[in-house]
Amino acid sequence: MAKKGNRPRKRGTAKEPVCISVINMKGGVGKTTVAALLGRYASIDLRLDVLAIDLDPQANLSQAFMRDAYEQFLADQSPSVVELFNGFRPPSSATPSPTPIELDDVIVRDTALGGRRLQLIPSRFDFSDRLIGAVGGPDDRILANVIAAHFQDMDVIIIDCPPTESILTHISYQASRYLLVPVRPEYFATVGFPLLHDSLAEFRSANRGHALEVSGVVINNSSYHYSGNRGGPERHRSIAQIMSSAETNDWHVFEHQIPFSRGFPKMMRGDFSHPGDATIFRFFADEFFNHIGLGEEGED
Amino acid sequence: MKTRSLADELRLLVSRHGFKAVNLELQMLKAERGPTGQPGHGIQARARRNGRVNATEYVRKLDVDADKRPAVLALAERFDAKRFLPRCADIANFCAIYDIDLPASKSRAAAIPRLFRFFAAMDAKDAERLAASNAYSGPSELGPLADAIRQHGRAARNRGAESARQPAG
Repeated sequence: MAKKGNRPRKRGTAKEPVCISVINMKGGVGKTTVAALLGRYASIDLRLDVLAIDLDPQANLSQAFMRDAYEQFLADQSPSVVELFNGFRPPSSATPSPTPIELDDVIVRDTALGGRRLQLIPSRFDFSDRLIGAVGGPDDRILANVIAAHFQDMDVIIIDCPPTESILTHISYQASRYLLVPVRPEYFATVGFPLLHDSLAEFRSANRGHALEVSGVVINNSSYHYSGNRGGPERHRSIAQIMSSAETNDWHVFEHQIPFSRGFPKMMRGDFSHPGDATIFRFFADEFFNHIGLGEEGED
Repeated sequence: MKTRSLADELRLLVSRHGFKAVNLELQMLKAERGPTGQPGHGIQARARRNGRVNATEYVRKLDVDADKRPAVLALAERFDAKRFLPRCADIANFCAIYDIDLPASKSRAAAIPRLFRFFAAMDAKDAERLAASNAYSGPSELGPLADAIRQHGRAARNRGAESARQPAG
């Protein structure tokens, strides 16, 4: 983390927010952790106003940001991204008819990972059932409309996507300028790449005016199977496969990798003592935000 | 040496600390000793005996606007009970998030003045929101969260089953 007094000046707020989706059509690659830590870095170190949107019905991003407050959120049946998309709160024991939804009801204005500069639209695990099961299906421009109408004062919007392709994937595409693809160096590393490539090709073909780019691939958990020989031949084969697949798809690969560190799950739990190698995340975060024009090098 | 009378000693204290502060201390001492007049055994009493600063006491002495006093006091009580920023690492994280310039320390007590002056200067709504939130209560355990998810899932399934049983039309 940047030292106090040495932090970069906050980017001018006259620009529109830059929307980024963290996505991979394979699960377990660290999408949620990467989304959470990028949000934290942007809000604390770059002093940007960040909105994180949890589109994953597993709601792990919401749990990491809200921690114990997420229990209360469930108990109170507080509105989530589901109600935001629906545009109303359903009837309940307290209200006998649907009631209009206010933006303030949905946004978590103060999150444990970034305070007031890192806000959240939380998710719930019944999210996909409600959306996908909706009569006629939801409009995939629903999130783009909400952002256009209400969040133009943000600097960055980070969307955590679910791993399997669904209407939620298309909702995130419609809202995004960039995609970020975390991947782990393992045998199954690149199985999601062709799916993502095809899904993107289909989307671009149907939305020709939409500039949606893969900002790059980041190798996550890069040292998790180090065992005295820096991962040995298996790790090298996996990395080579990632490089080759990225090149085939014409996707950039970020130079800085994210190391394995027990500090990451600790931070997701809200334990900030002894982060260990997790502090190295900032090298990738710097590179990423500079790459999309939001870092110190990208300032006006 | 002539022994000072109680009145003289009190005058000396008032001239040094002001009437309000001395009176406040007397009130707190009275509250601490309780109706029996015996010293208390609570957190505040222990902290006072050990010479440590206590957030609740600190806030009681602090000049806080009336509209945010309950919220700041609630934060102080939770801080003393270690239900708000329970560890030094939590304080360091909170200070990084809120741009509070606080030197790294191994003592929670050392952070009290800077932290609670910050809360006292906060917007009343922000202070209330913070006091109502569990977001800074330290590392979470997954167990209670899993229970809450399970309970919410059951409730949702029951609602679904009830609506399915409703006769159509």
